[in-house]
Amino acid sequence: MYLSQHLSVKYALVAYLLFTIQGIVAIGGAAALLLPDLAVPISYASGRAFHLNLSIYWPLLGMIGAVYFFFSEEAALEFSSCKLINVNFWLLVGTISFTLGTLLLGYTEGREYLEALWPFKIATAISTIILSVNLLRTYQKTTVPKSRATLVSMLAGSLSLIIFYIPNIISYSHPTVDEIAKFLVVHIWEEMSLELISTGVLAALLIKVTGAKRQAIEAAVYLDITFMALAGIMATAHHYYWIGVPAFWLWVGGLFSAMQVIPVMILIYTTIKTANIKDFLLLSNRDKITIALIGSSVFYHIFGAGFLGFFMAYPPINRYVHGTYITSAHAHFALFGVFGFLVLAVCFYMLFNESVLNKKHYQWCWLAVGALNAGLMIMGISLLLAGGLQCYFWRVIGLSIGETNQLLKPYLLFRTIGAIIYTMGSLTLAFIVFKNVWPRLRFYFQSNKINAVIHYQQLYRIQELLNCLVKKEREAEQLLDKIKKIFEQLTKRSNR
Amino acid sequence: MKLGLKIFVAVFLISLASFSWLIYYSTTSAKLQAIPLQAAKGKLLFQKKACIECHTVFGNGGYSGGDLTKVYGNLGKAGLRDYLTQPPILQGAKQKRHDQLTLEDADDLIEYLAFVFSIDTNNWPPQPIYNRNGQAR
Repeated sequence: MYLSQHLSVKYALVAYLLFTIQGIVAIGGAAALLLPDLAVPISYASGRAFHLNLSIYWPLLGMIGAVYFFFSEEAALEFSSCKLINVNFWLLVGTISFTLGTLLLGYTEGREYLEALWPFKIATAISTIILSVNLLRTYQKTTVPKSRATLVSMLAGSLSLIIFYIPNIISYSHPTVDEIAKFLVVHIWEEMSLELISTGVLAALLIKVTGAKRQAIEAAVYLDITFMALAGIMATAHHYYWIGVPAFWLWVGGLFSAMQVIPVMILIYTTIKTANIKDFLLLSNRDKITIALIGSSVFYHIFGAGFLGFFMAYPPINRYVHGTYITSAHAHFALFGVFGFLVLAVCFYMLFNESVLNKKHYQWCWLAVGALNAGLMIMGISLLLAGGLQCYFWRVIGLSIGETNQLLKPYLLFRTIGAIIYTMGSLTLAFIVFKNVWPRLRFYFQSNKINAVIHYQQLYRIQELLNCLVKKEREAEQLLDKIKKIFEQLTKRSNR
Repeated sequence: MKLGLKIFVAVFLISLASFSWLIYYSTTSAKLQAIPLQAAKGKLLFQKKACIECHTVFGNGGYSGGDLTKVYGNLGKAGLRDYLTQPPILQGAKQKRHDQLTLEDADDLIEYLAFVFSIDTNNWPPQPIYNRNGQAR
């Protein structure tokens, strides 16, 4: 355990906090669509901007924390500057709070997903620069092979965050150019940069948790990230089909989007090859929950992001489904389903690396994971149905958008129910996390020393032994009780 | 795995370079007309009012308010001006109206929508296949 790892735990903590807010805001938005006359203190537009920005910022925060955590472990080295980890944290958390606060008050740049005012965009850019500088300097110092796949993918992902963010600090007067720039963040961040980082983090995590062989994973990771670099960047074209650029983008988008399925196939192959129920049952409770969250992420990666995305990016289909609730369904599966679950898994692992989770709380964690999955499924499927009908009423029969929206209301109601189930899951999970972390909260923010000097596996082993001892003691107590009773009976008899 | 690293870096740089070139080519192509001054003013208003949270332009944005890419062609200047300056009650609501604009603001916004209408979007959005009476167009 390195000090860098200890310092990165607070990223995970705040990521969990922001994730909890997300569900509550989303229910408000979903209700506002159903009941337009509902008097809400925050306008629908501000609420939606808040929802969208939060959906980028909380996985980003958790992912940056995970990079600090796993990079130092994989490089077998402290970060070159531990102070910068703290600086980066406070800068990013400050930026996020101010961005979200100003959005709620209605200050917006009015570009979807990039609504933050420009000073906050600059601050976000500086945060990613700090991360990259710290990573690069540590990478130079490390004595492990420089070509280690986990290090390369985390480094490449972090460096590319900044490349694609810079063009978006300003907005452009031409709407087409605005759209071209926007998807450098909205698409490439999600489908390449964060994807590269998460591949590295996931590989590092699997090596630690399931004891997978580094050699075996290394090749798969390189294959994966090479296709991501190619298809991830070029497939941005599938957002450019109808924004007023030449028609060759339809070809570029169609071709490279199809190629995006290849990493998904590799993922399926690796999952089938490595998944082993027997090994799963042997894991500690905490690792079981981590793996369950990763499993959810893999599921949505394959179906929600991979296959659904594949069909949607085919230009003749995209012509009809573009700009409907189907896009929204896809966004929920791909953003929360893939990155949300993964960040939750990694953050859960990081948080309970230094301290032990109360045993009674594991069942609640399982319930929460179930509710999150059920809620997301209900939301996604009702949005898919709503989108399909929207296509039909609006693009085929030619009803007006007002009439169409009236007909979609039942599906949007189901979506709201899904959102409520989801939020119950998120609140439960966050409650468990904070209840367990609360007694030691101070240490995460103040101490420059590692909380637990022993390794987490030993920590969990000691917990198990203690539980065993308590159980034995109870058995012993029962035995003593029985002996006592027999003894009493015996004495009674002898008294007679 | 030295080879893997080399291939990865090469692929990354090649795809970044070709993508940048394609964007450069598209933004300098003749298809991109310069935006008139009043339309640019309208665009800023469109951003300030956060219209994108309910409406889509080029299909990107909020899904509840309908697409505005070709709305200028459907309603025309007078129709849009009426709608924006004297907004009707939203469908499905009892009191809630669309945001109201002043006449000057409305004119700027209409210029912007007219400019968006003039952009060649590769024939998107598709025209409905049937008309209101259920006959094929």
